[in-house]
Amino acid sequence: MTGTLYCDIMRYMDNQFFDNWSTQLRKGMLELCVLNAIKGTSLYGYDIVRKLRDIEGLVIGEGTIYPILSRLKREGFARTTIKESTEGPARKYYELTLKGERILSQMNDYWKDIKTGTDLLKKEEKS
Amino acid sequence: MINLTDNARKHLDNYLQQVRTYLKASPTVDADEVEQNIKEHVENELQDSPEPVSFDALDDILKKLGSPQQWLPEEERPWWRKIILRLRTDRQKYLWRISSFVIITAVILLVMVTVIDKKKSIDLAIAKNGFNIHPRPDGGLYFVVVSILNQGKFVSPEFPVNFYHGKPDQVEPKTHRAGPIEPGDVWREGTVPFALKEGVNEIVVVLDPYDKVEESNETNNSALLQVVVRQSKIVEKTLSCPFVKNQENH
Repeated sequence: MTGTLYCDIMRYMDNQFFDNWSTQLRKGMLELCVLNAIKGTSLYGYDIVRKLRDIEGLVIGEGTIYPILSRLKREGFARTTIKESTEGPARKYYELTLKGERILSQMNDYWKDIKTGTDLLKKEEKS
Repeated sequence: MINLTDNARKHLDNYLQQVRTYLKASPTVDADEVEQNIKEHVENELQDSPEPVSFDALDDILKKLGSPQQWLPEEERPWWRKIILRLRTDRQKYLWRISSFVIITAVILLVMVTVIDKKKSIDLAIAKNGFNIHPRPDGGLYFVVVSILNQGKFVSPEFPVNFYHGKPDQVEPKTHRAGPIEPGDVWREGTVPFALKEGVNEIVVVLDPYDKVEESNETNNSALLQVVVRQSKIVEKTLSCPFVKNQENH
């Protein structure tokens, strides 16, 4: 009985640690993914959400993406254009600015370095 | 515009209200833009749902969108929301920290208020007509007595009292000590006998001359007594209280 309770507590603590860690990781990754989603194209806000929610574990609350889009726009990394739609009222499309392209390139390089580094660590562990 | 049931409409309105409330505080997010995007998101998601859209169908969409409370990064949330959020997510840890902080702050404030109040609640003053000159019974010499009143609410500490026979910037003071004085009490301090010269004599008393005692009123700590002597007799006495520096030159 005590052993089971102890295991449950440990499992709960492990889960909590994982939740905190993944939340932290997602925060930065979401911005990177939003910028990558609109790279070289212009996308309707809802379509960006649909694109990103298919990535396993990335989007927990779909609504999170809209404030990110708004922030990227205010920071000058993205801009919007209004386009007519056949399905209803005119829609707002998001696309990268030159500043956005520059920061995205930097972010992608940074992420690539981290990923290469962590992959290398994993390989070292195996050998 | 999608047709919603009354319950669903209220639910959506309430959700959009939350979006406005939580995002309004952020300087980096345009709350109106996000609200419009959310409305469009809901409409797109419910496009193929049978109308009027039920509460449950809408609720599924809103649950997937998540709570607007979680959308802003922690550094952009107002401090009071951070506290509420932490209390909700990690109640025990933060409740203990916050209650300790509140108690310690309250104690510090209480101590500060008491100390400040205590310091400021002392007021040494020369009592009304409380600075006078008296002749010695054996004749020829005089002495002055000052009546010091503590008008404050706390006991004053011991403090010096300077007597000057002449202008304070020209003569050395005779320093006495007075106090402690209870609130409302009067302390009488007299000088040793001294002789008066013919003509105008100026006698000044200054309580707490170096302002070591913090008082609620620092302007009533001095008095000037002008005594005119003709043929070894006092013919005129004028008391100026409080004594202010430019009166020295009159």
